[in-house]
Amino acid sequence: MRRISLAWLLVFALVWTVLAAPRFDAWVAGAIAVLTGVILHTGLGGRQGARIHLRGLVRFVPFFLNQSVRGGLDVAFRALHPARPLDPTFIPFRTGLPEGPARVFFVNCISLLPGTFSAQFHDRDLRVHLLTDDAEGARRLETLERKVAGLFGVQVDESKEGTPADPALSGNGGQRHG
Amino acid sequence: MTESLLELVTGALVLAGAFFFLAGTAGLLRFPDVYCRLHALTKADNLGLGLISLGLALQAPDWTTRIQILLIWLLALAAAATVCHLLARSSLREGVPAVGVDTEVDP
Repeated sequence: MRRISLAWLLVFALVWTVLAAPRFDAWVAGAIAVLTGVILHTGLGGRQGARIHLRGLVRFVPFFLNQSVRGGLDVAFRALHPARPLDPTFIPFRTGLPEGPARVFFVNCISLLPGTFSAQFHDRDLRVHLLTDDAEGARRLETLERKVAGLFGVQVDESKEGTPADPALSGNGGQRHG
Repeated sequence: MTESLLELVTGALVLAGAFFFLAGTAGLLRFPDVYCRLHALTKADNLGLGLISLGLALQAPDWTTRIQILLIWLLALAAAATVCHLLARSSLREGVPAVGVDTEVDP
């Protein structure tokens, strides 16, 4: 049984306070939500802290906003275009980010940026869905990877050798059954 | 004068946001498979919510409310990314076919 960290309890309580405004009667639901949140967070191994680098953050925020706008415009264009131009595919991607918050953050950001989302994730290997099958996709992932590394102040391990631990993630197509 | 300009900007931002929600819904209906539909939901709705949040933040009476709105947008982003990943993962496990990918589906 892991111990619950007081710091995270305070973080969750602060989030609730901002959301619900500091109203006393909101704390009946708030106490349940905060406790559930912190217990789940601890149970899922979220105790390791992450240090955000200010310089990385200053670079990441405009990048993220810019990409969000592009992603929204891109998908809106494809959805409303009479011919509905799509060329979807899955690609494998191996991340060089170290295990922990940086990697999880990266995987989540993939799903918010233009034309990509992470469909499977095992250790260092991802299966990413692309809305259009082009060489841009993998390059965008590498750019995002570098930005996330800067945000967390970690190094991207460039060595990409080795085979995926999960064979389902190695190929392009191929559903996993069972 | 400044106030009416601010209201104009808010109106434009909220309308633009609503447009992206509409486009996301069009994608949800028109895209060919579950994987493409997830793109429509995550991207268009996040930008839509972002624009609406920005528009409303301009009308907020104080900074507490603005931080509240920002936090709501960030939490919605985190939820959207997580739910998108989980839906895609379970669809792959269930063998839901994907357009453009050579897949065999068990009879």
